[in-house]
Amino acid sequence: MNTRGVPHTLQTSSLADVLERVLDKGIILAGDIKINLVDIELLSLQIRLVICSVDKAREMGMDWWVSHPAFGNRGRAELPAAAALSRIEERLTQLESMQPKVPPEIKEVSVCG
Amino acid sequence: MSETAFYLFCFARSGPLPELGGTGVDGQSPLLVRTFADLAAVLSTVYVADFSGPVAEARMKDLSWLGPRACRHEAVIEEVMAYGPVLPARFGTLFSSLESLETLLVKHHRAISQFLDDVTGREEWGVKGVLNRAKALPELESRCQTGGAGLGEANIDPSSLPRGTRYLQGRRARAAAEKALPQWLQATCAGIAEDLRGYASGFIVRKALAKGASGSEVVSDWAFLVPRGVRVDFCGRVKRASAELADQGLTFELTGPWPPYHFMPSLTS
Repeated sequence: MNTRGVPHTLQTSSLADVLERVLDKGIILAGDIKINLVDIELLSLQIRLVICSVDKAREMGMDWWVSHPAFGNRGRAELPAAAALSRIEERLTQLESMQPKVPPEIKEVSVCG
Repeated sequence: MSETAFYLFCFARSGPLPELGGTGVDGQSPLLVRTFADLAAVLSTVYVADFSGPVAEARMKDLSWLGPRACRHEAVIEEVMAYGPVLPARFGTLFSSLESLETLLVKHHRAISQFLDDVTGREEWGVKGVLNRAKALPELESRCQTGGAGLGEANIDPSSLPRGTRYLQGRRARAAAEKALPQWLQATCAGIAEDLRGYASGFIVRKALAKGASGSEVVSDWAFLVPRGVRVDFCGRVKRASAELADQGLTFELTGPWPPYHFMPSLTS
Protein backbone atom coordinates (compact mmCIF):
# COMPACT_ATOMS: atom_id res chain seq x y z
CA MET A 1 0.00 0.00 0.00
CA ASN A 2 2.94 2.23 0.59
CA THR A 3 3.90 2.76 -3.01
CA ARG A 4 4.31 6.49 -2.49
CA GLY A 5 7.19 5.84 -0.12
CA VAL A 6 9.60 4.67 -2.81
CA PRO A 7 12.90 6.41 -2.04
CA HIS A 8 13.49 7.81 -5.50
CA THR A 9 16.07 10.30 -4.32
CA LEU A 10 18.12 7.60 -2.69
CA GLN A 11 18.04 5.55 -5.82
CA THR A 12 19.24 8.32 -8.07
CA SER A 13 21.69 10.22 -5.87
CA SER A 14 25.20 9.38 -4.88
CA LEU A 15 26.04 8.51 -1.32
CA ALA A 16 28.09 11.70 -1.21
CA ASP A 17 24.93 13.69 -1.96
CA VAL A 18 23.05 11.92 0.80
CA LEU A 19 25.84 12.47 3.31
CA GLU A 20 26.22 16.10 2.38
CA ARG A 21 22.60 16.71 3.18
CA VAL A 22 22.18 14.45 6.14
CA LEU A 23 25.36 15.66 7.87
CA ASP A 24 25.33 19.26 6.74
CA LYS A 25 26.32 21.68 9.43
CA GLY A 26 23.75 24.14 8.18
CA ILE A 27 20.99 21.97 9.57
CA ILE A 28 20.33 23.21 13.02
CA LEU A 29 18.20 21.16 15.30
CA ALA A 30 19.76 20.30 18.59
CA GLY A 31 19.18 17.17 20.54
CA ASP A 32 20.15 17.26 24.18
CA ILE A 33 22.91 14.71 23.65
CA LYS A 34 25.83 16.26 21.84
CA ILE A 35 27.59 14.23 19.24
CA ASN A 36 30.60 15.22 17.19
CA LEU A 37 30.02 14.85 13.52
CA VAL A 38 33.07 14.71 11.32
CA ASP A 39 33.93 17.67 9.21
CA ILE A 40 31.82 17.37 6.11
CA GLU A 41 34.47 18.88 3.85
CA LEU A 42 37.04 16.26 4.69
CA LEU A 43 34.47 13.56 4.60
CA SER A 44 33.10 14.71 1.30
CA LEU A 45 36.50 14.70 -0.33
CA GLN A 46 37.08 11.23 0.92
CA ILE A 47 33.73 10.03 -0.28
CA ARG A 48 34.00 11.49 -3.71
CA LEU A 49 37.17 9.58 -4.27
CA VAL A 50 35.61 6.33 -3.24
CA ILE A 51 32.00 6.44 -4.27
CA CYS A 52 30.45 8.11 -7.24
CA SER A 53 27.07 6.52 -7.53
CA VAL A 54 24.46 4.46 -5.86
CA ASP A 55 25.57 1.58 -8.07
CA LYS A 56 28.90 1.68 -6.30
CA ALA A 57 27.13 1.82 -2.97
CA ARG A 58 25.20 -1.26 -4.00
CA GLU A 59 28.43 -3.01 -4.79
CA MET A 60 29.55 -2.09 -1.31
CA GLY A 61 26.60 -3.89 0.19
CA MET A 62 24.57 -0.74 0.84
CA ASP A 63 21.62 -2.04 -1.09
CA TRP A 64 19.47 -2.62 1.94
CA TRP A 65 16.55 -0.70 0.53
CA VAL A 66 16.16 -3.16 -2.33
CA SER A 67 15.10 -5.83 0.12
CA HIS A 68 13.23 -3.47 2.41
CA PRO A 69 9.55 -4.39 2.61
CA ALA A 70 8.48 -0.75 2.44
CA PHE A 71 10.57 0.09 -0.61
CA GLY A 72 10.16 -2.77 -3.02
CA ASN A 73 8.92 -6.23 -3.53
CA ARG A 74 12.12 -7.77 -4.77
CA GLY A 75 12.87 -9.43 -1.47
CA ARG A 76 16.39 -10.69 -1.15
CA ALA A 77 18.15 -12.82 1.40
CA GLU A 78 20.26 -10.69 3.75
CA LEU A 79 23.97 -11.17 3.55
CA PRO A 80 25.57 -12.10 6.83
CA ALA A 81 27.00 -8.88 8.28
CA ALA A 82 30.56 -10.18 8.43
CA ALA A 83 30.58 -11.22 4.80
CA ALA A 84 29.13 -7.87 3.77
CA LEU A 85 31.79 -6.04 5.74
CA SER A 86 34.65 -8.00 4.24
CA ARG A 87 33.23 -7.25 0.79
CA ILE A 88 33.18 -3.55 1.68
CA GLU A 89 36.76 -3.67 2.88
CA GLU A 90 37.89 -5.54 -0.18
CA ARG A 91 36.19 -3.02 -2.41
CA LEU A 92 37.69 -0.09 -0.51
CA THR A 93 41.20 -1.49 -0.80
CA GLN A 94 40.64 -2.01 -4.47
CA LEU A 95 39.37 1.54 -4.96
CA GLU A 96 42.16 3.02 -2.89
CA SER A 97 44.76 1.23 -4.94
CA MET A 98 43.19 2.66 -8.09
CA GLN A 99 43.02 6.21 -6.83
CA PRO A 100 46.64 7.52 -6.98
CA LYS A 101 46.95 6.94 -10.73
CA VAL A 102 47.41 10.32 -12.40
CA PRO A 103 45.18 10.80 -15.42
CA PRO A 104 47.30 11.44 -18.53
CA GLU A 105 46.07 15.00 -19.09
CA ILE A 106 47.43 16.16 -15.72
CA LYS A 107 50.97 15.15 -16.66
CA GLU A 108 51.58 18.48 -18.29
CA VAL A 109 52.61 20.21 -15.08
CA SER A 110 53.91 23.76 -14.95
CA VAL A 111 57.66 23.94 -14.46
CA CYS A 112 57.91 27.14 -12.50
CA GLY A 113 58.99 26.72 -8.88
CA MET B 1 27.19 0.96 28.47
CA SER B 2 23.65 0.12 27.40
CA GLU B 3 22.21 3.56 27.98
CA THR B 4 19.60 4.31 25.34
CA ALA B 5 18.37 7.51 23.76
CA PHE B 6 15.78 8.61 21.23
CA TYR B 7 17.05 9.22 17.72
CA LEU B 8 14.98 11.85 15.94
CA PHE B 9 14.41 11.56 12.18
CA CYS B 10 11.90 14.29 11.60
CA PHE B 11 8.81 16.17 12.69
CA ALA B 12 5.56 15.97 10.77
CA ARG B 13 1.89 16.73 11.22
CA SER B 14 0.35 14.20 13.55
CA GLY B 15 -2.69 13.55 11.40
CA PRO B 16 -1.90 11.70 8.20
CA LEU B 17 0.89 9.38 9.33
CA PRO B 18 0.17 5.69 8.80
CA GLU B 19 2.18 2.79 10.15
CA LEU B 20 5.75 3.32 8.92
CA GLY B 21 7.56 0.40 7.34
CA GLY B 22 11.17 1.48 7.83
CA THR B 23 13.65 0.80 10.60
CA GLY B 24 15.98 2.86 12.74
CA VAL B 25 19.46 3.72 11.50
CA ASP B 26 20.80 0.39 12.76
CA GLY B 27 18.51 -1.40 10.31
CA GLN B 28 16.75 -3.29 13.10
CA SER B 29 15.03 -1.22 15.74
CA PRO B 30 11.46 -0.27 14.90
CA LEU B 31 10.32 3.26 14.21
CA LEU B 32 8.23 5.02 16.81
CA VAL B 33 5.83 7.85 16.16
CA ARG B 34 5.11 10.03 19.18
CA THR B 35 2.52 12.72 18.87
CA PHE B 36 2.64 15.98 20.78
CA ALA B 37 -0.53 17.94 20.16
CA ASP B 38 -0.73 18.48 16.39
CA LEU B 39 2.89 17.49 15.75
CA ALA B 40 4.45 14.06 15.40
CA ALA B 41 8.07 13.06 15.96
CA VAL B 42 9.44 10.04 14.13
CA LEU B 43 11.94 8.31 16.37
CA SER B 44 13.78 5.12 17.13
CA THR B 45 15.76 4.04 20.16
CA VAL B 46 19.54 3.82 19.91
CA TYR B 47 22.45 3.13 22.21
CA VAL B 48 24.13 6.38 23.23
CA ALA B 49 27.50 4.63 23.00
CA ASP B 50 26.97 4.14 19.26
CA PHE B 51 27.01 7.91 18.74
CA SER B 52 28.79 9.55 21.62
CA GLY B 53 32.29 9.10 23.00
CA PRO B 54 35.73 8.75 21.42
CA VAL B 55 35.14 5.28 19.95
CA ALA B 56 31.88 6.33 18.34
CA GLU B 57 33.38 9.54 16.97
CA ALA B 58 36.27 7.68 15.39
CA ARG B 59 33.86 5.22 13.83
CA MET B 60 31.78 7.98 12.35
CA LYS B 61 34.57 8.63 9.88
CA ASP B 62 34.26 5.08 8.69
CA LEU B 63 32.19 5.07 5.57
CA SER B 64 31.14 1.48 5.92
CA TRP B 65 29.55 2.37 9.26
CA LEU B 66 28.24 5.79 8.35
CA GLY B 67 27.07 5.16 4.78
CA PRO B 68 24.24 2.70 5.39
CA ARG B 69 23.10 4.61 8.47
CA ALA B 70 22.96 7.92 6.62
CA CYS B 71 20.96 6.25 3.85
CA ARG B 72 18.51 4.79 6.37
CA HIS B 73 18.14 8.20 7.98
CA GLU B 74 17.29 9.67 4.60
CA ALA B 75 14.99 6.77 3.68
CA VAL B 76 12.87 7.17 6.80
CA ILE B 77 12.41 10.89 6.15
CA GLU B 78 11.56 10.22 2.51
CA GLU B 79 8.97 7.71 3.60
CA VAL B 80 7.34 10.22 5.94
CA MET B 81 7.61 12.94 3.30
CA ALA B 82 5.37 10.91 1.02
CA TYR B 83 2.49 11.55 3.44
CA GLY B 84 2.92 15.24 4.12
CA PRO B 85 5.36 18.01 4.99
CA VAL B 86 8.37 17.17 7.16
CA LEU B 87 10.97 19.02 9.15
CA PRO B 88 14.03 16.80 8.74
CA ALA B 89 16.60 16.42 11.52
CA ARG B 90 20.26 16.00 10.74
CA PHE B 91 21.98 12.69 11.27
CA GLY B 92 22.57 11.90 14.93
CA THR B 93 20.02 14.13 16.64
CA LEU B 94 19.63 12.40 19.99
CA PHE B 95 17.34 13.08 22.92
CA SER B 96 17.92 11.55 26.31
CA SER B 97 14.19 11.28 26.99
CA LEU B 98 10.79 11.96 25.50
CA GLU B 99 10.41 14.74 28.04
CA SER B 100 13.43 16.63 26.70
CA LEU B 101 12.09 16.22 23.18
CA GLU B 102 8.74 17.54 24.30
CA THR B 103 10.43 20.53 25.88
CA LEU B 104 11.97 21.39 22.52
CA LEU B 105 8.67 20.89 20.75
CA VAL B 106 6.77 23.08 23.15
CA LYS B 107 9.40 25.79 22.99
CA HIS B 108 9.55 25.84 19.19
CA HIS B 109 6.02 24.79 18.37
CA ARG B 110 5.29 27.91 16.38
CA ALA B 111 8.45 27.77 14.31
CA ILE B 112 8.00 24.08 13.55
CA SER B 113 4.36 24.48 12.68
CA GLN B 114 5.04 27.49 10.48
CA PHE B 115 7.81 25.61 8.71
CA LEU B 116 5.55 22.63 8.00
CA ASP B 117 3.01 25.04 6.53
CA ASP B 118 5.68 26.72 4.42
CA VAL B 119 6.97 23.49 2.90
CA THR B 120 3.59 21.90 2.25
CA GLY B 121 3.50 20.83 -1.38
CA ARG B 122 7.14 21.81 -1.84
CA GLU B 123 10.33 19.81 -2.11
CA GLU B 124 14.02 20.55 -2.17
CA TRP B 125 16.08 20.03 -5.31
CA GLY B 126 19.84 20.16 -5.52
CA VAL B 127 21.60 21.57 -8.56
CA LYS B 128 25.34 21.36 -8.94
CA GLY B 129 27.36 23.05 -11.65
CA VAL B 130 30.19 20.82 -12.77
CA LEU B 131 33.06 22.19 -14.82
CA ASN B 132 35.21 20.15 -17.10
CA ARG B 133 38.23 22.40 -17.37
CA ALA B 134 39.84 20.37 -20.13
CA LYS B 135 36.78 20.98 -22.27
CA ALA B 136 36.03 24.55 -21.20
CA LEU B 137 39.50 26.03 -21.74
CA PRO B 138 40.04 25.18 -25.43
CA GLU B 139 36.56 26.50 -26.12
CA LEU B 140 37.31 29.80 -24.39
CA GLU B 141 40.74 29.85 -25.97
CA SER B 142 39.33 29.82 -29.45
CA ARG B 143 37.01 32.65 -28.48
CA CYS B 144 39.97 34.62 -27.05
CA GLN B 145 42.00 33.99 -30.18
CA THR B 146 39.33 35.20 -32.57
CA GLY B 147 38.54 38.03 -30.19
CA GLY B 148 41.92 39.75 -30.50
CA ALA B 149 45.21 38.31 -31.61
CA GLY B 150 46.82 41.70 -31.06
CA LEU B 151 49.98 43.18 -32.61
CA GLY B 152 48.35 43.51 -36.01
CA GLU B 153 48.34 39.75 -36.52
CA ALA B 154 44.60 39.38 -36.59
CA ASN B 155 44.29 38.71 -40.27
CA ILE B 156 47.30 36.48 -40.65
CA ASP B 157 46.74 32.77 -41.11
CA PRO B 158 48.39 31.25 -38.00
CA SER B 159 49.82 28.35 -39.99
CA SER B 160 51.91 30.79 -42.05
CA LEU B 161 53.65 32.12 -38.93
CA PRO B 162 56.98 30.79 -37.70
CA ARG B 163 56.65 27.97 -35.16
CA GLY B 164 57.97 30.07 -32.31
CA THR B 165 55.44 32.84 -32.93
CA ARG B 166 52.66 30.30 -33.22
CA TYR B 167 53.69 28.76 -29.95
CA LEU B 168 53.75 32.10 -28.18
CA GLN B 169 50.38 32.98 -29.62
CA GLY B 170 48.99 29.72 -28.35
CA ARG B 171 50.40 30.39 -24.90
CA ARG B 172 48.90 33.86 -24.92
CA ALA B 173 45.48 32.51 -25.89
CA ARG B 174 45.68 29.89 -23.16
CA ALA B 175 46.59 32.52 -20.56
CA ALA B 176 43.72 34.74 -21.71
CA ALA B 177 41.30 31.80 -21.50
CA GLU B 178 42.43 30.92 -18.00
CA LYS B 179 41.92 34.52 -16.98
CA ALA B 180 38.49 34.70 -18.59
CA LEU B 181 37.24 31.40 -17.21
CA PRO B 182 36.20 32.47 -13.68
CA GLN B 183 34.35 35.47 -15.03
CA TRP B 184 32.56 33.42 -17.67
CA LEU B 185 31.64 30.81 -15.07
CA GLN B 186 30.36 33.35 -12.64
CA ALA B 187 28.22 35.14 -15.20
CA THR B 188 26.86 31.93 -16.72
CA CYS B 189 26.02 30.33 -13.38
CA ALA B 190 24.44 33.52 -12.08
CA GLY B 191 22.18 33.63 -15.13
CA ILE B 192 21.06 30.02 -14.69
CA ALA B 193 20.49 30.49 -10.95
CA GLU B 194 18.39 33.55 -11.62
CA ASP B 195 16.32 31.62 -14.12
CA LEU B 196 15.77 28.70 -11.76
CA ARG B 197 14.83 30.99 -8.91
CA GLY B 198 11.84 31.98 -10.96
CA TYR B 199 10.39 28.51 -10.31
CA ALA B 200 11.35 28.27 -6.66
CA SER B 201 10.03 29.69 -3.42
CA GLY B 202 13.40 29.28 -1.72
CA PHE B 203 17.01 29.38 -2.86
CA ILE B 204 20.23 28.71 -1.02
CA VAL B 205 23.80 28.77 -2.22
CA ARG B 206 25.80 25.99 -0.66
CA LYS B 207 29.53 26.12 -0.49
CA ALA B 208 30.81 24.14 -3.45
CA LEU B 209 32.90 21.63 -1.64
CA ALA B 210 35.12 19.44 -3.62
CA LYS B 211 36.25 17.99 -6.84
CA GLY B 212 33.79 15.80 -8.64
CA ALA B 213 34.71 12.74 -10.61
CA SER B 214 38.16 12.84 -12.18
CA GLY B 215 38.76 15.82 -14.45
CA SER B 216 35.71 17.74 -13.28
CA GLU B 217 35.09 20.14 -10.46
CA VAL B 218 31.98 21.36 -8.71
CA VAL B 219 31.76 25.11 -9.30
CA SER B 220 28.33 25.86 -7.92
CA ASP B 221 26.07 24.09 -5.48
CA TRP B 222 22.50 25.28 -5.05
CA ALA B 223 19.41 24.14 -3.17
CA PHE B 224 15.97 25.21 -4.36
CA LEU B 225 12.62 24.83 -2.65
CA VAL B 226 10.30 23.99 -5.51
CA PRO B 227 6.49 23.71 -5.50
CA ARG B 228 5.55 20.23 -6.66
CA GLY B 229 3.37 21.70 -9.40
CA VAL B 230 6.36 23.18 -11.25
CA ARG B 231 8.69 20.26 -10.63
CA VAL B 232 8.61 19.16 -14.27
CA ASP B 233 9.33 22.66 -15.57
CA PHE B 234 12.12 23.19 -13.05
CA CYS B 235 13.82 19.90 -13.84
CA GLY B 236 13.37 20.50 -17.55
CA ARG B 237 15.05 23.90 -17.26
CA VAL B 238 18.04 22.40 -15.45
CA LYS B 239 18.42 19.67 -18.06
CA ARG B 240 18.14 22.17 -20.88
CA ALA B 241 20.81 24.42 -19.35
CA SER B 242 23.04 21.42 -18.91
CA ALA B 243 22.59 20.27 -22.49
CA GLU B 244 23.17 23.76 -23.87
CA LEU B 245 26.41 24.30 -22.00
CA ALA B 246 27.84 20.79 -22.20
CA ASP B 247 29.90 21.68 -25.28
CA GLN B 248 31.49 24.48 -23.30
CA GLY B 249 32.47 22.15 -20.48
CA LEU B 250 29.75 23.09 -17.99
CA THR B 251 26.98 20.71 -16.94
CA PHE B 252 24.34 20.83 -14.21
CA GLU B 253 23.53 17.84 -12.05
CA LEU B 254 20.11 17.59 -10.54
CA THR B 255 19.26 15.62 -7.39
CA GLY B 256 16.01 15.31 -5.54
CA PRO B 257 13.33 15.56 -4.45
CA TRP B 258 14.95 15.93 -1.04
CA PRO B 259 13.34 16.72 2.29
CA PRO B 260 13.72 20.47 2.81
CA TYR B 261 17.03 20.19 4.68
CA HIS B 262 18.32 23.58 3.64
CA PHE B 263 15.28 25.62 4.47
CA MET B 264 14.83 24.78 8.12
CA PRO B 265 14.46 27.31 10.89
CA SER B 266 17.02 27.37 13.64
CA LEU B 267 15.75 25.58 16.74
CA THR B 268 18.80 25.96 18.91
CA SER B 269 18.12 28.95 21.09
